[in-house]
Amino acid sequence: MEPVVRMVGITKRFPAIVANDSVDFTLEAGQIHALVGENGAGKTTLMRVLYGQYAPDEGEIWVGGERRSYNVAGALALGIGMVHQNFMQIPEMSIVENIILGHTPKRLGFVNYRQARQRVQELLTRFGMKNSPDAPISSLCVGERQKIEIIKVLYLGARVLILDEPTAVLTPQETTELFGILRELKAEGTSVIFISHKLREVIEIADRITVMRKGRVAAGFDGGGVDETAVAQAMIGKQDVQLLQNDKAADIGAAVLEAKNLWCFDGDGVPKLRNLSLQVRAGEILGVGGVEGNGQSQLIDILVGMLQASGGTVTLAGEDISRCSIRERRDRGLGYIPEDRMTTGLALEGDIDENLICGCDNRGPFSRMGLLMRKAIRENTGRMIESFDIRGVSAGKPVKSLSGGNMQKIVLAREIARNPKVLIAAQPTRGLDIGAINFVREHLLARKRGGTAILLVSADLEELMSLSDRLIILYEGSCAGEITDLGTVSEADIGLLMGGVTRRKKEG
Amino acid sequence: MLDFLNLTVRLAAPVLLVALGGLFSLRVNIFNIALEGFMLFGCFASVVGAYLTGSVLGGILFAAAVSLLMTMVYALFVFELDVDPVICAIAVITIAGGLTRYLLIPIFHTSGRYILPPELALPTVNLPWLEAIPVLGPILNNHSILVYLALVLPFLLHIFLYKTDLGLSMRSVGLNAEAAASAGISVKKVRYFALAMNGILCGLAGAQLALSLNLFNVGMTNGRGFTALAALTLTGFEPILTLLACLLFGASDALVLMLSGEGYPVQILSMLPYVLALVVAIVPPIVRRLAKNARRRRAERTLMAPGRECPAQE
Amino acid sequence: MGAKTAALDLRGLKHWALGLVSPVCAILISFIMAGIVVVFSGGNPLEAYGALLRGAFGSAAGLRNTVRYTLPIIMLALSFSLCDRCGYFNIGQEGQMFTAALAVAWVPQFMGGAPGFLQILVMVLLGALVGGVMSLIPALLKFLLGINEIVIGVLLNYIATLLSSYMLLHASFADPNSSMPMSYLIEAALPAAAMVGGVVLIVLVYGLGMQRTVPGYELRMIGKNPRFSRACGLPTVRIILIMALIGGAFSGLAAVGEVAGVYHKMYEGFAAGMGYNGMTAALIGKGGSVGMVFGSLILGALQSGSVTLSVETSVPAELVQVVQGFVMFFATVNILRFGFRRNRKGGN
Repeated sequence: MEPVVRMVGITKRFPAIVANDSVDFTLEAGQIHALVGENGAGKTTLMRVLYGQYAPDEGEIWVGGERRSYNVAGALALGIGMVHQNFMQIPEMSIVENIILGHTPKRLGFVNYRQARQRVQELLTRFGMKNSPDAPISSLCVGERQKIEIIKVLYLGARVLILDEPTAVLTPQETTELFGILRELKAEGTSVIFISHKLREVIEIADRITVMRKGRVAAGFDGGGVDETAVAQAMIGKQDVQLLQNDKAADIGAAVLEAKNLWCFDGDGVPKLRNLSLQVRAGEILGVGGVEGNGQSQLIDILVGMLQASGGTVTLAGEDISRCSIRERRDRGLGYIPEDRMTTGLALEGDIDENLICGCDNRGPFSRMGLLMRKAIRENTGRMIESFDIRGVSAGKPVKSLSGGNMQKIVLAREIARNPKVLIAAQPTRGLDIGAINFVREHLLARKRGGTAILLVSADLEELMSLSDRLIILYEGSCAGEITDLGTVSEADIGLLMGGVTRRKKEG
Repeated sequence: MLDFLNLTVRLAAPVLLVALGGLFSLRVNIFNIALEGFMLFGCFASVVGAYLTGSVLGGILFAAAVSLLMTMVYALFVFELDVDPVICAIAVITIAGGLTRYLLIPIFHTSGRYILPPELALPTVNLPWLEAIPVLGPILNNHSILVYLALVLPFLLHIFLYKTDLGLSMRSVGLNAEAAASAGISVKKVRYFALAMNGILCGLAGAQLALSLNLFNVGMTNGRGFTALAALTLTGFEPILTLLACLLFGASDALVLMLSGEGYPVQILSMLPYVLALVVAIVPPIVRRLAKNARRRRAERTLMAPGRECPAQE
Repeated sequence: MGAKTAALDLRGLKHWALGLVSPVCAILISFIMAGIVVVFSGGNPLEAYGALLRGAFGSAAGLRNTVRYTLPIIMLALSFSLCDRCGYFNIGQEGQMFTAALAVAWVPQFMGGAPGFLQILVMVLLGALVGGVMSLIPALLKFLLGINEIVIGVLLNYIATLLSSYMLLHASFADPNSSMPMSYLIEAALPAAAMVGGVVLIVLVYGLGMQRTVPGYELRMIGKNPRFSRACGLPTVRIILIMALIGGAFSGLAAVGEVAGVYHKMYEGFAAGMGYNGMTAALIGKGGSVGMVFGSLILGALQSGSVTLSVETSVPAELVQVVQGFVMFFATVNILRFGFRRNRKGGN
């Protein structure tokens, strides 16, 4: 039988890199085809080519036995739909408007809202959603919004459904539900392409697995009983790259950072943090998990001083710092690795000198009596480049041309070299390749052994489980549970906490 | 009083037309500060057009065409050359000011101001059936066709935005261009369309302003483009609310005109529309901020009360 | 080592030269565009530009005039670029100038008996203060409430212009015997040498301070990424508001120079249209001090040459404003980048 989609020799170049290098990809009818690989392996690019968002520089796309070239509208007409990693939705508009956007049923030149509402209602019912078609998207939770994305694509009669990292924002239970839907679609003959880097999920659902590495297809496996390590090795390309783990053996000292009864409300009076208390001890990594948007960013902002809490106190080494400015907190030994290095961690237009001294610029050795000491600044940069193995920098050039890993090394160098008492690390390895992930982990673990108290906020459950000494899960702004002995719980248990299904009494 | 309201409607029309033009830009997320400049081009072009063709209609069409052309140049610079839209807009305003001032001399051989023959003034329409309606009649009768257009447009625009496909596309582009593009909407085309409408409406606004007085005066738009922007930020780009806000500005203009005849200092009176615009721009954000703080405090009081250790988590 | 630094210098020179391409092209294109306008209106552009050039640089008086027009533009350009680095678009410079000038005109009223230098000192301080406060209003509204500073700034310009017209008719310093609204003659005059010296000093302090001092560094970082600067502990809001204040003070000083140093009185509409000059010069210079002085000089020369233009040719002096508008328009296009733009498309 003719495959639904056949991509032959696809090459896509961007100014700095070749994102896809003569990639072949075939999708059969009614197949769930997983596309796996590390960040930057070219999975998303390949799918955007298929979805008509990027025109390939070389190569052919065959859809339903015919060679095609098209844009997004053309892809939709061919029945190819894509659910992006960050939802392409307009929160201010209603469910029905979001779904019919760009494909409105018309009558006498006006949008036929009645007909649209009816069809959307049918789809909502089919997916077991009780929301009104006129409810605004902003009133839905993440799992519901994902379903809307899928409905949006099906509304157009898509026979090929591309899902880009659909489970990244879901709890394990929501993921199970999603997989149920995908199997149903498959039974109806829809083909699904599923981008992920979570191997366990992939092996559970996929009929066929294509592994990408550095813009090329590295390997292909048939689903069912595939060996996880074989896929992992194809992904990484080396024989034995293991992610570093916390040996959980070091001495843990007294509490250094302590937050008591934190409250925080947004502009609508909705609580974002509810009476949250936590403490991080010297030489300890406290993991903070939970589905994104359950108060993690408010917690970080309050601890760092970017946001004023409505109530509660923050103490650092016994001193109340609740009223201190960001600079005062940093001077007292607070280090911060922000979640988004592009917007908060670095000034991309600045050079490495400027990025390394920010926050310490007003004192020795970098300045004296208000004048910058350029020699000292340059020496500092040299030292940091050496000890953090920062590559690709040139003096006076903006850091925006560096790779993600090297950018993160600059952030690490700035925050760690000051030898902080407390380090707040938010998603420190997001978007990095394995080598860089291990580099970051190595430095975090080294600081831990050096006695720094580390608060690690991450959306990656694997990372939390392997690095933390202790783990708390946030749900709707309060602590849903604390896990002191990470060896005894399963990911499913944690998933229940993340989804707010169960709560664990705080121990002690 | 009825005279005053009639005057209000007439003076509100140019601001309203510019504001509706600006609404198109703001709806596709282009903060078009150059409204003032496009309107000034419209004023000048309407007078030139009327003078060259010898007809009012010629003036109106020429105004719309020139303003459209200018917005398209602006759109080209902003969309194709990645120019900073704010600076480009201010450049447009500067060029509009300079070019109209300069061209007045070679075209009309006069400096600063040109008065058209009175027969080229925008005629007013007298509808006997309208006159017969008490109160509303005298207010709404005897206006130019552009005033009537300005009064009807907000309602048409409302229908356009909320009932048509293109309106839906426009709203989506303004709220989230990336999402719109991924739904297969051509964001650039929608934006060009919106700016084109913006241009035409600014041209009509200029024509109403200049031809109702049958003259062109250097810098005669006098900040109306910015007043319109202030009105739009107040109304959240809703056409019908914008109509109301612009009537308010029309009333303040009318008040200035009526009172300045009675010996009050003109300069202080003339500040009224600008002060009103300032108030309109400043007060709503303050109120919103206060309301937010109140909501937050209320939530704090109810939820953070002592004794409630772990609320709302059953 | 020596060779290495030489190579670096060469690269720096190349970088600098490339940086010049855009503004110079913009200026050339603007003159060509304005030339086309002249041709269509029946004039001879070459003749017009010749007259402009002669007027601006052809005589000692012309040169002096050019410097006189350039000085306030430099101050306004500094004001604009200082604020622009903080993300505050200071379009309210005219309003700042008008209110500062009112303060200057008022000074002789309450310290008429005092020695001249003292009066000048008070004028300078008061002018700077008033300008600064006027600039602080939109800045505060923007950073505390998120209100667009351009709309507020422009509205304040109109209000300040009307207010000064009113004051020049009715305030204690209004001269009732003059034919147009203006203030009494200001006897304590700001000497020309002091103005030139002052502006040179300010430009030097600005240029060096930006590169070599801690506040300059922090300002640069805020310009590059305010969120990052804040997360690193820089007192972002405080720095931004101080810069808005200083920027306004610079506009105020430009007004002090005009009123106390050039006209020796304040008259209605003396600063009309000047606000856009500073912005244009800053755009030509792309925030660098040398480029800004260069841009200011071009605009100053245009103004000083415009007198000769209207005397010697049939082309009206209003042409200058057209050229200026085009310069602003084309200075925003990064011509170099446009050339390479094709390669930049795409990417995630």
